[in-house]
Amino acid sequence: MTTQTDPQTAIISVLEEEQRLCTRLLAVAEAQRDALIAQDIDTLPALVREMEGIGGIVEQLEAGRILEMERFTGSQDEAALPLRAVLARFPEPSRTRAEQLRESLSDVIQRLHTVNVGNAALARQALQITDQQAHLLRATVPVTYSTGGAPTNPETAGRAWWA
Amino acid sequence: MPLSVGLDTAVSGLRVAQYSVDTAAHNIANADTEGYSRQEVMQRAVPPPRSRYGAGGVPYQQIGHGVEMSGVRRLRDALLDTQYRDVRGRHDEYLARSSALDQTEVIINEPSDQGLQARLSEFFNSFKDLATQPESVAARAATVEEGVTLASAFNRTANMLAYQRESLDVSLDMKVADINAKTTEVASLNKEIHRMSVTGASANDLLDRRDLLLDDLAGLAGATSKLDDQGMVQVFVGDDLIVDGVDSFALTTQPDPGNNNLRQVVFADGAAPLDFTSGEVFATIAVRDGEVSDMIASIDTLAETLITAINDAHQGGYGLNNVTGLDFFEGDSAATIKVNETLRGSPESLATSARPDEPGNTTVAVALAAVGDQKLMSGGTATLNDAYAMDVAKLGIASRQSTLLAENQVALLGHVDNVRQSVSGVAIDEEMANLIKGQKAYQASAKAISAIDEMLDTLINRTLR
Amino acid sequence: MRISDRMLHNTIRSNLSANQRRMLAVEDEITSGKKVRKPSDDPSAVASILRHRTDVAANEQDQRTVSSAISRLSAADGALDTVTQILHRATELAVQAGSDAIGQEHLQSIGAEVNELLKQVVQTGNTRFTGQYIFSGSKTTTPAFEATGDVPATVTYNGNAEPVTYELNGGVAIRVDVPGEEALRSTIDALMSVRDMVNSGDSRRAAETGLGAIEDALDQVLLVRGSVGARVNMMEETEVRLGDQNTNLKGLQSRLEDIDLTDALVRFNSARTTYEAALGAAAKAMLPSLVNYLQ
Repeated sequence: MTTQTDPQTAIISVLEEEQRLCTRLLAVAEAQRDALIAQDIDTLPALVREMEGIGGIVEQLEAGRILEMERFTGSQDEAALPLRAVLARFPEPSRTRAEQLRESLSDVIQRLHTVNVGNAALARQALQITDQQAHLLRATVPVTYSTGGAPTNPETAGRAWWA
Repeated sequence: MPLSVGLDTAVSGLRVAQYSVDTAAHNIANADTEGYSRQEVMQRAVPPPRSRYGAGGVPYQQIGHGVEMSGVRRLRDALLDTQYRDVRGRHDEYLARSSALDQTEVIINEPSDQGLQARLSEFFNSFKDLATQPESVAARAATVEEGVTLASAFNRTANMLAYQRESLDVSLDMKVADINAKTTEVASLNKEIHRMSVTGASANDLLDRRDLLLDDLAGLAGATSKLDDQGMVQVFVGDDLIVDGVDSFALTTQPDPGNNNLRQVVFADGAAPLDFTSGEVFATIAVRDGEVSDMIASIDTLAETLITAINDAHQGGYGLNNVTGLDFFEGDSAATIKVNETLRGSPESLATSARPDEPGNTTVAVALAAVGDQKLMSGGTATLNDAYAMDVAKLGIASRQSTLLAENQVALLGHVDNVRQSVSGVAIDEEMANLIKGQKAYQASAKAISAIDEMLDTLINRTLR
Repeated sequence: MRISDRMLHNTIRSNLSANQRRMLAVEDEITSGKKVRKPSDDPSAVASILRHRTDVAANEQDQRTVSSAISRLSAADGALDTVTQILHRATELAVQAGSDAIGQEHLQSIGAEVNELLKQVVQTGNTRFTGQYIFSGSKTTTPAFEATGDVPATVTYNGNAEPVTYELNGGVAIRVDVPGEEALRSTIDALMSVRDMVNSGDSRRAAETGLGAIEDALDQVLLVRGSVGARVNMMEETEVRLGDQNTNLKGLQSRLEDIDLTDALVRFNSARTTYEAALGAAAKAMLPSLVNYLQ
């Protein structure tokens, strides 16, 4: 991010990039939802990595945007101003463009939020089911030996394992 | 609207997931169940609808639309089952044989100081001893006692062998009842499985149970089986049907007058006899009519020959009191042989001399002792002891052979079962590895989702408001 | 081939079972000391073992029989020795009787003594050995000689000339009787005639013919003793032979029947080590440590 570009342009770039990324993130979240339902644990890790990646980039972009807003308003106090108010002070044609971007980004994020909340529930349920299965599996282990292979009961230790 | 697609997907997914859990739980819970075949839920993705682009411009094929089950598949190899049952029949047969012959050896109790060999030896030697002091009443009484001991040994051996034969015989009733219970169940399973398959439902557990029963019938009766075109099983003993689809044919036992009234296994309806060629029932009958009956006959022949030869020598002799014409032994078989009571009460009547009034004459005592050295058995080629030794050796050979064969079959059965298992067994390791992988994936997902959620929260409530 | 847990368990279980069986079988051998405890342990050996036991028992019976024979014949020999001593004494007395210087009283006492000697011979002829009259032939419950009265006029032989034979394995017969009549009649007659002649005062003739008769009697007794002695010798040789045979038979029996303890102990230790190693391996191979992960 160079100081040669004026803050409005910079802010608009950020908003454009964020919209692109969040649209991508929405697709990833939807794919994650499908993978959770299908218990497709082979695909999940890749999706998780992508989510984390995109999340990281958006964080960075947000940090940059705040700096630019400070530059534009000329002071840090005015960074407390909401985005809307800041955008209202843009000259045309930047102002209309920025407004449009803000609208569509808001839209994408709402949708993303919905899918994400659903995914949280699915992930919780999948974990529960997995724990159930493991619990059942644990129950099939013969009594005289612990799962590590060592005899649990010293009296039965000398006997054959099936005894 | 994508939201409703999402819901449908979620619902179908949950249904499949739940079924998957049930199947996996079923697999795991049955990991140690005999005869359990692993079941696999076969999943396939629902094919996408025709429009190629979804919301946000992302192509559809990158997004799943849920899954549906295409059935639960049963992993089992029919050829391996046939192989297994073939081996199982012989395995159970040799084990039963080996166990029975072991028992016979215990009854015979050789080599030992209490067996017939020792008793016969002592008996003949006592006459030699008596020949050195035929005038002694004490020595005579001792010789009579040796006769009593020998007769008791014969009685006891004969009784125990007869008891073993009877036990083997009676055990057939129990085994036949077991066969009947199993064939009844197979027929009823045939019916149930057929009914379920017509409605499209999966009958995997019932199929497993039926296969297990067929394994057991192979072991008990050497039974073979065939699937008919209705998916129902026919079970055979030799060429005879004992199960035909939904019908089972009960067996029973009846005495065979041509075989000492020992039991014969026949169909309950019509009394046609069955022809067993392997399995436990076959072994039981074979040992009963073979080795055990042979040994009973051998011991009887031994006793009869002894009685005749001793009595022949004894009758012409004179006792200390000049009594003559007495039998030494009474009875005509190993079970009935006993010493003449007169001799027990009056040992002076025991004949040792060839002439009256010549108590020192030992001709008859010596002749009685010599019966042990005469080749009276096996067409004049063997002494009593030799013949007996050969009978004991014969039993030993049969017993050792069946033990070795049984051991072979145990190893072979283990191997065939393992091959069978590799196709249908459940591996806990595999299941567990999957579960752990799943856990990690879900936990990572949950963490990422939560992080994104925070970010979105900030964006929505702070930034974009 | 996929290995299921049941397969693994089955294999481990059957291996352990086989190892355990092997170990217990050797243990059984050691505690019983016998290689062949039942026919199936070694069917080809068991027939030999049984026949062998019969042979050993028969050999030992023969040893007892021979020992009995030797004792009985020795008793007879002892009796005949006594008779020989009696005859020597009788010779002395007969010589005394024949001397010209003999007095009447002396002659009377000679006569009495010869009578006593006669009765002693009768008594000796009725020697019993384990309740049997050994000079009666086969009438062993009947005293061989009967003499009535204090100065018996006749001595009757009530036995017979039938043999008493013991038999050994293989039909070998041993005569153990000494027929009393054959052995002692000449002695009895000689003594009786000497006594009678002395008592009737015919002392010279008593000496002349008496001595001859006594000498003949001595020869006869010697002859009989010789045959008894020969039989005893033969029996003693047989006894030695039977003893050697017994040693051989017992040695062979031991080789057939008894375990070699050192060898058995080595095998037992080996089987036990194998078994314990298998147990250890089984414990380790048993269950996945993955399940631990969840604990």
